[in-house]
Amino acid sequence: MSRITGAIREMQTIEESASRDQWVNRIHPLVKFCLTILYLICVISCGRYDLPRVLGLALYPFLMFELSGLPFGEALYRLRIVLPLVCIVGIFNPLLDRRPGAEILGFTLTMGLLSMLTLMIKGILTVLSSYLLVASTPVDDLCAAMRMIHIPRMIVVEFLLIWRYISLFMSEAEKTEEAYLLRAPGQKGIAMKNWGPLLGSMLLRSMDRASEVYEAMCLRGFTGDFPAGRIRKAGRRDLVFFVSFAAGILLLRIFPVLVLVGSLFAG
Amino acid sequence: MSHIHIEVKDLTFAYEKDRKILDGVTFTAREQDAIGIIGANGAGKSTLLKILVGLLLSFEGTVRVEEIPLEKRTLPRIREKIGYVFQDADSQLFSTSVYEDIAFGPRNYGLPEEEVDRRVRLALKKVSLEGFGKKPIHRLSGGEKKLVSIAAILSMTPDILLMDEPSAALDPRNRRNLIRVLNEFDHLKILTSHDLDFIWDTCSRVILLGEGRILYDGNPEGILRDKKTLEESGLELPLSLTPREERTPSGGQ
Amino acid sequence: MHMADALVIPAVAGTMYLASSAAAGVSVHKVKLENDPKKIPAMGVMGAFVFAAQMINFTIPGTGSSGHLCGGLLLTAVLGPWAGFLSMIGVLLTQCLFFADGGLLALGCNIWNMAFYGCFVGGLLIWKPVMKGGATKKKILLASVLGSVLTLQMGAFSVVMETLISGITELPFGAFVMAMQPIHLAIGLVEGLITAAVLCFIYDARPELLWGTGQTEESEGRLTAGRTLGLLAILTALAAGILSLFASSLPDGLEWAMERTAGTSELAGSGAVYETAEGIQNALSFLPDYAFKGSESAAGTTVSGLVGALIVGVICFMIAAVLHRRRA
Repeated sequence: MSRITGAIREMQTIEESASRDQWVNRIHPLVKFCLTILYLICVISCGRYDLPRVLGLALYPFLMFELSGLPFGEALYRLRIVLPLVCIVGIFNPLLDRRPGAEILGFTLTMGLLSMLTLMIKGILTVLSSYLLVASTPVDDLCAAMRMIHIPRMIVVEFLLIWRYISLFMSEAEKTEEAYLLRAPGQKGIAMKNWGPLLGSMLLRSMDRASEVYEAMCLRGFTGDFPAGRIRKAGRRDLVFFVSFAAGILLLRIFPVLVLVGSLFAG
Repeated sequence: MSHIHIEVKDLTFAYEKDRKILDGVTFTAREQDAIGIIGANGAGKSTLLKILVGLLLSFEGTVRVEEIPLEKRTLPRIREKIGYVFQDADSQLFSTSVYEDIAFGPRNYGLPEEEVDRRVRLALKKVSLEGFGKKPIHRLSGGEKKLVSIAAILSMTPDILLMDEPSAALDPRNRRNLIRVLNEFDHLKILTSHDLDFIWDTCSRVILLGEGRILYDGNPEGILRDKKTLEESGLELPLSLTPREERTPSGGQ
Repeated sequence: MHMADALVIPAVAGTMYLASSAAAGVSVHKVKLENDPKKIPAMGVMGAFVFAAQMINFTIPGTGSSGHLCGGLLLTAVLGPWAGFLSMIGVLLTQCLFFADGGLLALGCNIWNMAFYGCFVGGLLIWKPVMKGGATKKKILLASVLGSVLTLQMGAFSVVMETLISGITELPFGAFVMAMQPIHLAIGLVEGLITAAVLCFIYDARPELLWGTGQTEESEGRLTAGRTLGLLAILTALAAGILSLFASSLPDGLEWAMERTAGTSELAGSGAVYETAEGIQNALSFLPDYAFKGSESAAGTTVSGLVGALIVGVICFMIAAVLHRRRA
């Protein structure tokens, strides 16, 4: 079934790019994490009509994709979930807000159009920057960063377990659904009378799996807490990376850089 | 060298009343033993292993591991001595990467990170999977998962190794690899299997379980050539020991 | 129903993060108190299960379409509300990080909209009271459908509020609500039926697995009536606090609509809560031009901004082209 196969493939490509041995992958995870958060805050705090500033902030993902060599196409593919939602929310703005906003080559951009475009570009930029984070940071490093900002260990451990078992369970779900649909030709999904037994037996298998996992943990000295591995300290490289990129992002956010460049030429 | 590692006396166990899975099982296992426990489905093989490692405590009779009686109080001490490899490697390996999983046990024992690292590397070397450390577990093949789950146990340097159906669903190459790893482990090991060829290749002693009782306990030759007893217990003569003229072509009954 | 980052402003995202973190903190504490180490792997494994189950298509009778599962109430019915909530956080975090389903900054909103209502309102206020005195299939059906419909309605309403307060859309409140709530009524109904079907199956097969049905009374023994009431009071206070934060920052959100309709953007907010909200907002909006209000100033800068974008864009692509040629 394509939905599950697609999800498994998506996981795999992210994992592969996260485990590459490239300079971005070697940057300290906490640095990348903080930078991403800073960038996200900068983007979503831009005014709703502030198209130039949002466009200026696009320089960061552009530069990062250029420098890191991460697959841009894969990042675009991830937009498919967010964009429709953002569009639905923004699509009425041009209709409802017809105040003139700006005039370019005799064509009037209404405020509504400006806010819609700003919203869409914000949508794209936030997804791209999150992708840059996960596609360059292995999941174990990501969790180390989460521990460093004091997200409770229980949540981090549980996130790791979910990550470990989703592909297993997804392929199991896929097989179950395939086996069902092979015996129910012409059906689009699982019929109502089979909802309970199908999902219920999957749930019971998962519960059994959970207790086996628990036994396996206990046999190896688990007493309720997860031992943490060694966490690498941030080095000078990491610091330089953080300071320069953070400064760049803040610069783009605080000064309307594109407006300044534009007014040099357009007077 | 031959002091007793495991001593089981009159072991009886039932999940539900009146349905005994094990019924008066008695045996002792020594340092150098490599014991294969065989029997049909439901004969109580896996249950026996789970009891030895303290996963099922509501049994009758006595079990002693290196002189320590098995009970709730002594579990932590006993589990440091026994390594148990699950039949389903996916249950045993719950970490995201190979390295993290093998390091889980040593870290739980509070070892310094240098020692943890040394043990992980050594364990990976023992199962010939050097360089696999960073691999995500869910990308490993079935055979690799099995070897990693053994490495995860070896990193805790157990005195005793228990394995439940180790050869299930392995391809020939991984199977050979597993046999080598097992034969290199020179302490007590106990494994259960339907796969009598595998038992033949790895074990020096065989215990046949049937309806919760020990039907045979002795050297492999004594039972693995005994077609009649094996068939009565729902097992078949190992292929390698079956005379050529009696072998049926595969798929033909 | 997953909120994207672009749909919220930092003040809303931050507030919702605070609220969700508080609920998560209480849950972690509660799960630790339960002192059942078995729950830790169960939370992760069941989270993965819900994730996989969400991928399956269920045919909705009478229509040609199919529905999916969200899972908050289902997890609560198996793990209890505290562990269920933490498990849902894991699911939402995974969706957000690895599948771009919901944003990283909007995660606080998503946890609140989906996990908080599903696990605490659905679990503690509906599932538990209904199951009092033992479960039956009818009760399971009732609790599942009621719980799912109600919590999804609350979730959908929160999405509306969070988006409106963020001032992202020009959609009037009424139209937005009318668009969101009926859709989520249908979604909630399907969710409820799927949840009920699964839980009825579990009830037949292994009833001891269901939380709060009296079968697991020993582990719940510590939660006396008084404590439950206390907990509910804390939760209610928490929710009320958040809601008043919403209410007090509402003027920001409705400003534009009012500006157009009534010609005034002033709406007095008063009291300590408002000041707190403003404080949070100020703390988060350290950046200038936080709210780009005036339309006159926009006109001039937009044009030169777009010209600038064009120029910088061309330069960037030229540099990129040169770099790529050199690499190749």
